[in-house]
Amino acid sequence: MPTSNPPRSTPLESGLPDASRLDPTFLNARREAIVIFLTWCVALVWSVSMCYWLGYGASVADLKTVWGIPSWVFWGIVIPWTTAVVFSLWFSLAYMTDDDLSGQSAPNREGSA
Amino acid sequence: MGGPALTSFVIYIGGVLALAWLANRLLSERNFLSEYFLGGRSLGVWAFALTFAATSASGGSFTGFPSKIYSHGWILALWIGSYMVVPICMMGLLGKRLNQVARISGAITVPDVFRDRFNSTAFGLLATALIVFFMSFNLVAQFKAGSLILKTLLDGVELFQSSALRLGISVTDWPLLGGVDPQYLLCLLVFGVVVVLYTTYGGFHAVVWTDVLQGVVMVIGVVVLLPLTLHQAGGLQRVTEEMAQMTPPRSGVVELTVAPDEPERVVAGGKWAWIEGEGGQRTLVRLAESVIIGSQTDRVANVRVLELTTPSQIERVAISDQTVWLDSEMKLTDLRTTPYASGEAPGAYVTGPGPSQHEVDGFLPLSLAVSFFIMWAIAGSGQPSGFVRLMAFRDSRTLRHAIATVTIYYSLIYFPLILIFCCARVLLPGMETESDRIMPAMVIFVTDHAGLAWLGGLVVAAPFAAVMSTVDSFLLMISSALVRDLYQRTLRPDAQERIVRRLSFGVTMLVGFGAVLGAIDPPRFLQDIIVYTGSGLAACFLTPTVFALYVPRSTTAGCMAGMLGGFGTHLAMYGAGIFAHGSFFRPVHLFGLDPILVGLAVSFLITFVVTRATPPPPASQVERYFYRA
Repeated sequence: MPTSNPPRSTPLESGLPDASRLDPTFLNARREAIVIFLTWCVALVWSVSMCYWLGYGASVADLKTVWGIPSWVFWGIVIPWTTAVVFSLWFSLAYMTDDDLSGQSAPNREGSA
Repeated sequence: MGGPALTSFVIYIGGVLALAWLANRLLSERNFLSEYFLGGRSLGVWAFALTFAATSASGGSFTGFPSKIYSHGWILALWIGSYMVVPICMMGLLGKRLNQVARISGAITVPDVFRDRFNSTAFGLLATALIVFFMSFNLVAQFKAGSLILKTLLDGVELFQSSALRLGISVTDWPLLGGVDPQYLLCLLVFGVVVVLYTTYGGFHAVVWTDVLQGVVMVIGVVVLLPLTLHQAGGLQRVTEEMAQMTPPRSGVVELTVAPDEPERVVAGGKWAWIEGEGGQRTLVRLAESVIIGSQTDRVANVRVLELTTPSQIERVAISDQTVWLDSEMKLTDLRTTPYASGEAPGAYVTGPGPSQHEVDGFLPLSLAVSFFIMWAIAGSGQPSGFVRLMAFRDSRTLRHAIATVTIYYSLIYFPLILIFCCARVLLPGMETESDRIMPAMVIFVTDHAGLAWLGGLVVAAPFAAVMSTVDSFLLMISSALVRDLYQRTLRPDAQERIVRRLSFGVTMLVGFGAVLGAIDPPRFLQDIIVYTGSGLAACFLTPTVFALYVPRSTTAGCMAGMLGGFGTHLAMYGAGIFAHGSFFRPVHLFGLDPILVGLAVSFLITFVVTRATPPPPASQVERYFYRA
């Protein structure tokens, strides 16, 4: 006898397609996010350690400047900042992929509940 | 600020209103809700880049940040250092995926994303409640900030002073408005009416277009100010050398006495005076507050003052023809001062951790340096106001080019601000008494000396533009949370578009004017509220968003628990401050770390553990957001 029970959702482990069908936009975005996070880690280590090493508790008699900027700021902030700008431009304009964001796999419900 | 500068400023406000009118023309032709709250997901590179940058750069960038540079010196370069990677982090970490997931689900608001991604009405309502809670407080604080900046800009304009006086007289007997400073009240009304009207009338498009205008004003302000400042200060080398010899001022109290026959009067703060000590030694002080003195019974008053301790600064004040001195018939005696808790020796302004009035470990000990590096870049990525913009760009090419644009844009703003306000320490000594006014004070000083007073109006509009661009975004977020998430998606799913449209206009206006009312008698701790709400939002939203976008196995229970855990932990750190330091706004720093970091860590841990402990989500839900159709 036919039943009219609503369809039950399939548990995750048993019901997913093959991993090769993972959305390339998701994979690209995840890879790019990991690279960005690593970039932030490098910037953190470089800036904080360089500024701490050269600039904390330094004697004013030994103060050196580069272009009028205290040397610890120059090597700990100006140089990594410049490097970060160059990296960000390369990353965004050359490394990041153009992906389809259209979300056509699902019906568009804009403006509805 | 004189007439020409006021004219520039009025032209700027006119431009903002004209853009709102144009934005409203666009609304009538397209899908209303998507257009009104998200701009139809059609933002191009310049619009997306500048609205993102302008919204993120709140009033703090042009008031609190310059004030900190002035007060603590070169160490602020490290404090703000993570802005070198802020654009790539805030836009790149979540941007592409958030935009895609919002398109798949048709989400218009941030709570929409959680509700649809996890198919959970409860999650949507939780996100709505947190956004309304945090942003309502923040909105009131931002309205106050905008009004105070406007008051500073219009200081000295005759028309403004006479209008404020008339307003003050006319509201004297009103219950709520009677005791309010009439100049502040007038600024609040002007600022509030302009922002609420253009946001209500034009919606997201108006907010974005005005953000673009405001973003351009901000960068022009800094780019113009930098060379003028460096030239007038005699070059950066000279500034750093002079800063290396500076010692922090001392705050204290002095007894001010007037002659018996003097009439009652207000002694304005900011005036300078010499105090004669024993053996002819003279001390230079600046009044840190205004005081009323001279009534029949009161010839003496205790006044807060700031004592300069650096010889070069004392000399500059003494010989300047712009120094305003205290009237000679008034006498200052019995000076009692307190030294800074750290950084008393020369060199504090050019080395770490920087001088601090209250903290014995200095302004930026190592633990806080790490905290701020995490806070700006990583916690900044968890702001819902940024999420909305990430949902609104047109395609991934737009995102890529916008990251490049904002990278350049922030570099043109933040590092130059450090140079400008290090120069301010040399050019304008003694501003510690009112360091929140250092930005407009520097603009007026520098443009006047360069004979470019007309430029002052445009440049000084930069901090005002920064607050405006933040307020309009927050206003629309609260309104969208109430109309879209609460009314349309929860209470009345079958509501007609005509009703939703009217409700959107009405709620935006109501929330806006409600915030104006709240700002008439605002909480005292302005910057503290902004920090609490900004960091609280990140503690709640960052981890659940990362899991929702990048972890297929993430569950509703795990992400909701993480959101609540972040909220609770962050609140607990602030609440513990009441017992540890006697104030909610002096939170406990566990292991020397800022509450935002503790909140983020706990939120991540809870989300991870609960996600692993709860049954996996339905395959259909995961397939929809993580697999090709």
